[in-house]
Amino acid sequence: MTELDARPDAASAERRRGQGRPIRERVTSADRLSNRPEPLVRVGRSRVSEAETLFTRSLMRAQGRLALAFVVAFVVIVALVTFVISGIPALHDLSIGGVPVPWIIQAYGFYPIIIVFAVAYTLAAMRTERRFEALVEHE
Amino acid sequence: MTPLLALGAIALVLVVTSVIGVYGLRISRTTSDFFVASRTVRPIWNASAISGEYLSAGTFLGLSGLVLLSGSDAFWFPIGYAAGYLLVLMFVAAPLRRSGAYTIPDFIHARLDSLTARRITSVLVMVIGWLYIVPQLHGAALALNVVADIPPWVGAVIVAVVVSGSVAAGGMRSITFVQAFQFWLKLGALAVPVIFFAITLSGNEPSIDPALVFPPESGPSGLDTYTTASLLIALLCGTIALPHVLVRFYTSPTGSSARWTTVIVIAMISAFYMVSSTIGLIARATAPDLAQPGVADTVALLLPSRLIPGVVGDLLTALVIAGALAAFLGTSSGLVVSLSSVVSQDLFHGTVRSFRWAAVFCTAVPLAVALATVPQGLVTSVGTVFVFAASALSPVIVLGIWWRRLTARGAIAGMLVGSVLCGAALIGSSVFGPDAGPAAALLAQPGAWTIPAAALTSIAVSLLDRRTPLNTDRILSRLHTPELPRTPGSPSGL
Repeated sequence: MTELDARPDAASAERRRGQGRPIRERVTSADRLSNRPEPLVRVGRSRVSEAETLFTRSLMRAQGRLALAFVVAFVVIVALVTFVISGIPALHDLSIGGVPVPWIIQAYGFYPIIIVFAVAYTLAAMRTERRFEALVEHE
Repeated sequence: MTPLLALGAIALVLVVTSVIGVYGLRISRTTSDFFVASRTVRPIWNASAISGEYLSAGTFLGLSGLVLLSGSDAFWFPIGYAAGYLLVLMFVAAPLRRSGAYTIPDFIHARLDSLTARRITSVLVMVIGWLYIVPQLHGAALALNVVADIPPWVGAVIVAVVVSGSVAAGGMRSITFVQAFQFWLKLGALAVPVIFFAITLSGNEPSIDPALVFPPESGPSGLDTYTTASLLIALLCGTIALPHVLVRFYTSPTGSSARWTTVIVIAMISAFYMVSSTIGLIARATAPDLAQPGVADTVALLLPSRLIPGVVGDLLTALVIAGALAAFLGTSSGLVVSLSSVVSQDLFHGTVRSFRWAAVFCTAVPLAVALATVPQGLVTSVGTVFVFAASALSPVIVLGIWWRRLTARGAIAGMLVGSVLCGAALIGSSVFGPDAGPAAALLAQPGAWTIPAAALTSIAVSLLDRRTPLNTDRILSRLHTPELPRTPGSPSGL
């Protein structure tokens, strides 16, 4: 009897689900902290081959060198601009709308430099990655 | 000034914030929605949200206040904040997105395979986040007190309640839209008044004496090389370790989209900083009487009614207060989201319910601190947080991404040395003040020596330790390898 009772219930529940809204699916963190061997989300190949390790290292070196070169260039340019606005007193006699030029440069001048560096770096980093991908596909 | 208009503006921002929050609530259903908006956010919205979160009371009110108070030195703060994103772009944006981790402690745990390193990172992230929320609440107290004559503690409590409530209700998904809206509100709230000021001031040329208003010794030529360099290094490196900055990259679909998002962010915050700097310059020319500590930070709120009397001035004031409120709310809620993610994952296995309680807890602590302390200059308080973040976490994060031989012990040693040295220097600076003699500058701006000290400690201990985690190669390959193009039937895919 119990089986017979249970079945229509299950069937009607099934029907209700079919008619109404889709069942809410709750996604929770499956791995607990203590036994989480692999907390990263992206599923990739489980083992890294020797060749891939070499590729990754050369890509890392290339990207790292690129970033360092950009940082050094950025620091040099910022230091130069800072020297110009702080070290040349004659600039202080020029003014735009009542504000001396060194003040104007410090308030507005650095942001265009930052934006140009950001765009240039992003393009260069993408080029490195494309070259790397082409290399991997050839293998 | 009529407090009624200001109160109306405040109410409007709160209503719009909660409406967007509730709208977001209907589409945020899963744990992943709560923590990282399920990675479905477009770059332009994501960039608006990042900018909305990043632009805090420090640059909305504090920047013009400090320009008025101490001169062009103040401009270094926004320059450092914007350039900090350049370093984020170059060193961490794409790799951290590819790591797939939710929080900084998640990343450290995965990279170094050490629960101790994770716990220490979590504690440091909490400290950084709380230190950052305190000036936001101070700013709220100050602003509401000036425009509507509300007692200071009420302003702080209102912001804290709205933030913890909206984060607990909607999580990251709704917060993304709220913050995107808040960015445009903040930008408009300063840009529109600047346009009005420019029209007014060009109409009747004010008779200012440039030598008096913009004296060379307060200008760029008066800069102190060590202090400026140390501050800039700290601001640049500090952005990398801010908990609410990193969590945002997890909402970009790929590493390269994370990079482009960062580029858009740099353009957006630069535009905002230029507008905010303009307010500072106008303040120097028109409101020199406000140049006193404690009062100067309110100049952005007081300028409209001074320069443009009548209804227009009142409306502009209401707009500025709305933007200021958006600044307090945006930054605090971004921080509370990332802190709550850390607390709920570290202590309660990352369920939605624990996230909600964590949100309340993470707002209550800084609220208590804010109510118990006296506000200092807003932009310098925020700058101090950057110095601490740069010393405590940035070296370890950057080494973790770029240096194979980093070990868990090296990272732990670096984090401890950086945070202890920087904390001691800042406490020493506030205790001894200028009495410390030649060391005063070293204590007040410790970034130039604490950041290298932390990095060198990490490197030295790692080299001695030599226990590189076993999965280092696999994780580094994941961090640096570009995503495979999504082809149907590809077994690995994303």
